Amino acid sequence: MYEFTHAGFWVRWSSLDRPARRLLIASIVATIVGLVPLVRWLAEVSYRAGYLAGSGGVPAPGATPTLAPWTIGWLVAFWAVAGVVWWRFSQRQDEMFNRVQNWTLAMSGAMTSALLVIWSLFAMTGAIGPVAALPALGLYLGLVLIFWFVAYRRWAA
Amino acid sequence: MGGVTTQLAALRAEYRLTQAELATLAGVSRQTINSIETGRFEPSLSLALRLARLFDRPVNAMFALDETEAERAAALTLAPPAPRFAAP
Repeated sequence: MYEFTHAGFWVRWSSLDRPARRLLIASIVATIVGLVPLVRWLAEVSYRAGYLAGSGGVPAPGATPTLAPWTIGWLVAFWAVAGVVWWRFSQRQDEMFNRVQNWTLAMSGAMTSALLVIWSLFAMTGAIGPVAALPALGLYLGLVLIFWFVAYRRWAA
Repeated sequence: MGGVTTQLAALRAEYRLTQAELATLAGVSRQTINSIETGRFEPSLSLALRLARLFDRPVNAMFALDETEAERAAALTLAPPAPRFAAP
């Protein structure tokens, strides 16, 4: 059975049994493989974001990078596998692990939805731009990390 | 814990079990036992029943409502049900 380490963001390897270790490795590998075709795009986007911030608002020269549709298909396929394997891993853990996980997913999903609705409403007034995919995804992933840490501190720390 | 107190640590000490040993017996992690004992985590009914069975105690000997919750629950205690049919 798991034991949280690193402020709840990792588990003690020796506390997991062999099937749980296999499932955790498979889930991490599928997550990373899903990201491989996006690495170059992510690097370009990061460079442009850094350039914009460092230059005081001047965008980097050259066209904004776009993603080929197959890369998203690849990402979805591998992340679906990662999700199923992670679900099987979490089924092998106890109720505190699952409470931390379920609360995190519920809170981050609800908060992201609320913020996207607010963003959309302001966008309708023209005060801000339309909802953009990348910041929305980043927001969700950031909230997952924050709420996981909060849940860990609340129940398991 | 939200309005619940526990005697788990005292019972575990009585049986001279470590948290890790009790966790293995109950099928949960050591951190879960620790969080229950320190009042941060309220176990599900099934886990509470499993722990009670391990120590051969009734659940309410291991887990109880705290003072505030007990008072609130006492105020809401139902009267015994009236007989549905009048005796002949």
